[in-house]
Amino acid sequence: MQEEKGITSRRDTPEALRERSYLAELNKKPLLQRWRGYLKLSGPAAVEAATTLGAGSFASAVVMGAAYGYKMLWIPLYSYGLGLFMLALAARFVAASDIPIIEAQNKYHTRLVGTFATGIVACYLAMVVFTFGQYALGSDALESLFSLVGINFPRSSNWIIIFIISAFLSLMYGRRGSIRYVRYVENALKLMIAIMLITFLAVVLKTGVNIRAMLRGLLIPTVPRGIEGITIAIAGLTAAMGVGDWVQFHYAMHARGFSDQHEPLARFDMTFMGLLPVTVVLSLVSIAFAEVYSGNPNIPLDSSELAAGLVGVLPSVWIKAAFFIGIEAICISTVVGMSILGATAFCQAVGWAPDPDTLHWKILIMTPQIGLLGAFLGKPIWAVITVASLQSLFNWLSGISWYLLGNDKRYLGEKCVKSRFFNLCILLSVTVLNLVFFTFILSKLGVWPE
Amino acid sequence: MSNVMSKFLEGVVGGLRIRTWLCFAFFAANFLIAHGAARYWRLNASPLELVIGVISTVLLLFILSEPAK
Repeated sequence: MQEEKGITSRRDTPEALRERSYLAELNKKPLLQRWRGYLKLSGPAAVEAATTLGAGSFASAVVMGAAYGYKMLWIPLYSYGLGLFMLALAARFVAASDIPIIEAQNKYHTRLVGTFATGIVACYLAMVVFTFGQYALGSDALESLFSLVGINFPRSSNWIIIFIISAFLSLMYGRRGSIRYVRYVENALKLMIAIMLITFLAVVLKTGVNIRAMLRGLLIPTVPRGIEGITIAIAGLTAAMGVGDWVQFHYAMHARGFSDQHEPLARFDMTFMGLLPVTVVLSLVSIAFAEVYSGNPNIPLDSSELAAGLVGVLPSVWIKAAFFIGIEAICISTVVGMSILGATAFCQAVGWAPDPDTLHWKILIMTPQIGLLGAFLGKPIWAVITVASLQSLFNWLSGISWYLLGNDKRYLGEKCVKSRFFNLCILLSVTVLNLVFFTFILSKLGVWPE
Repeated sequence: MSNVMSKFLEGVVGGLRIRTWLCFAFFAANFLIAHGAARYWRLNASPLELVIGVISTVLLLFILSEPAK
């Protein structure tokens, strides 16, 4: 009998064992049949994608589209594309070992790397602080949505809608020791991602799209020459994927009881429930703003002013409503994803069981809800800067640790990384994190531009 | 030839300890890129540091991407 460790000990439950024997057969089937089966079982990447698609990435997509037109469409695709290799490594860790990643980092690379850099800085603190932005944007969008039909529902009271839905879904995740409740939440997040896709597509159908410019912007990365180009490339490649995303995907797979037979499913999942929706949603947002602000020399600098400008040119009240509903789906799903990751990472960091039926889990999963103050105060800039600085300082440690664990037979046995290409792409991700660290330090010393 | 190279690299990064130390060398090479780029483009200094950073990063990428056997 396995020790009860909450969502990290689900692989021996009857549901997980059934799925495992089903996958042992499915993995031998022809491609299309296999994919159909995987589609039904997908989900952990949707939790990760919901967390990635938040107020921060939405604001970046808005500003990039308005300021650079179609030229920066490559950022989400390439950022997530590079991150796919870290997600594949996260899947390998789950497939090859019973030890979850933060525990493994503590065991093999000290608590500074596992507990502090990965658990507390990259995950818990970031998830608590970044929910302020979700509430700020979400309550703003709700106020605008209701004003379309002449109802005054101010931010100071509408935050309760975001709170109720996100708290309900977060608390449901993995309760009663059951994978069923994990899948309910995954499906709810998939539904919210589908809402984002449909609503932003409706907006783009109204604003129009230049297909040729879109394909060029999406596939051919362009950056200015010199140091500005390096800064944009580094920021771009870390825009959609970070250490928190790798950890989120890893624990979401544990929560579903993934094991060795699940690795092909995990790779399908991260591509079709992660890369695809994240790239499409952020690209649609950028395209809408590129079309509306194209050729305008005096664009506003603030993303909410930019959004107001876009809504002003949308012809129908339904499309305006769709735009705000899409934003709402972004904010609520991100609060859910952040709450789950925050609670899991904190439990793992301090050595508590990440068990959704315990009091400490329920308290921890509610702590990111402090972000509801964002509906009143906006984002606490000092806290966001502090956490982002801590991440710049310590994320490289997590990156190197993941690379080393991928090549560590003590952890993965014979399933450690066997492909030079796979290792190379992991190292490229590590390079980006190293450069983030150095450019951060050098900018504080006045050597690199801020 | 590639077999010889593979055997050589395996000898270099075969142990986890040496792989770890090479990661720190890689970290230092990345520093040379960032610092060299800033000096070259902002202070019009010689690009030597940047070039050394790029070459050593590429070399270490090649060595460290060798999988554990």
